[in-house]
Amino acid sequence: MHAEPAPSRPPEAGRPKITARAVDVFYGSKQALADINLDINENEVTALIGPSGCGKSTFLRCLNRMNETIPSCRVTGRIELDGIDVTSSLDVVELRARVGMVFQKPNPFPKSIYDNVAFGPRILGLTDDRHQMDQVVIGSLKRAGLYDEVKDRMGQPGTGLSGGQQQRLCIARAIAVNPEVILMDEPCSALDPIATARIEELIEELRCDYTIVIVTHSMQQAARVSQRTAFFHLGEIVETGDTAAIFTNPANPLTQGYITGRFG
Amino acid sequence: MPHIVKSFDDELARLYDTIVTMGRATRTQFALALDSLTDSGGQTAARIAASDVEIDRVNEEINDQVLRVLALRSPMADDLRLVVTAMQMATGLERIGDYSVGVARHATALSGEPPRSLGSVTRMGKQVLAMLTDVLDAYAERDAGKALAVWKADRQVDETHSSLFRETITYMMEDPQNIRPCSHLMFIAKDIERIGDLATNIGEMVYYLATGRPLDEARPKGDTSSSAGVL
Repeated sequence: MHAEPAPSRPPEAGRPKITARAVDVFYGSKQALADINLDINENEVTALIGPSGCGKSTFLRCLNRMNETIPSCRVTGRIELDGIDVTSSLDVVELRARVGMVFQKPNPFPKSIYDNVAFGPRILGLTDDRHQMDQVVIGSLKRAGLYDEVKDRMGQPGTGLSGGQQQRLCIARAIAVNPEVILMDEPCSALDPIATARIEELIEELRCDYTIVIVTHSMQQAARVSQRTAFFHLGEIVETGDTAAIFTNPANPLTQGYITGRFG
Repeated sequence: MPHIVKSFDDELARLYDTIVTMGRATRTQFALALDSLTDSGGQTAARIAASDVEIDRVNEEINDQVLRVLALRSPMADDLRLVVTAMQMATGLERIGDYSVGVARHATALSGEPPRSLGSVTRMGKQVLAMLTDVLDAYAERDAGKALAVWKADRQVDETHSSLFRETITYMMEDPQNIRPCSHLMFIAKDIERIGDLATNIGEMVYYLATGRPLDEARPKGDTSSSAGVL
């Protein structure tokens, strides 16, 4: 648990933090993902791109077992976090503490700004000490780049913030439990360009300490924030590679067609 | 496969066509400059100065088109390469136009007293004109192989330039009367050599446009004029 913003360490990109092997996902009898193999490297931002319905959000939700909330959903194959199978060998509460998530639409709890951020640490019993909790909340809000804007109204409802502030509050809430991985499902699609720029800047800062996976429909955003990109199409990964290479010289014609706006 | 946004296709096609047009005009400009070497009346030089204004105007037009596409479309992959290459090519072609004007200007100064090395310069000019023609064809056809051939051909031009440099110095040493025309000739040769370099640069751009990979081989250089002694 960090009380103050942890000093950023230089990214040690390259080591797989999450590995997915032969992952299939079914909703009832319909197959949503087929034979997904992907390494997600530590301290890197991995962007998942592809047309609507291609399975990128489904894959993201496999990484912290959010798909288990859908009764008809069945996941096969193996997904490992630091070499440990997330389905069979990790408790789901522990997994979600280690793999946090930020959604498309900011979804602060109907609680105060303070309580939104303190919620996770309280539930997980990370601290009972009020002073320590203050430090966690302040540290998380600072890391999310929101503290200066809310420090005088910590008791006011989180729902009263602007859309961009609410999304940063959700990011503060996610990092308050000190996760290792942050999953972001189109985190900027409901935000204006200024709020989007703030989140993108934040993603770049957070990369030093966390592994980030982001689903985005914005090609430019994927190109700006990520180091690696995976292109999904019809439930399969068509191409994975360095973001710079994918966006200047994709190997697969399908990738080329999608990112240049020829289909989608 | 066309873009979903049809006007994007139109903009890229227009940019491509404008580059082809500018390339054609630049090639004509350089061919005229070479003609001016044997044109004693100086009329060709006047035509070149006029057409250079038009090349500069097309360069501005291409820059405007590139800015518009970048700002409105955020092009990716092969589209991005086409747009970036267009901007670089326009700059290169505009410089070729300027060097052609330089060739013609020095050619005017030579009229009436053609130096003995003129034949060598004319041959070098033909080599570079062939390179320029080929590289513009390579662009029009997005032919990486042809672009690579132009890139390799520059070595020959460099060697011709070095040999011409030595030849010219010899004539100047033989008779001080040769110094003035031979100096002009050296400027002409240098301008033509630079046009060869620019055609080579365009070859690199076309290669990148067509393949998505930069030409990372060391560029073959054969110009030793900067360190050449006499004979």
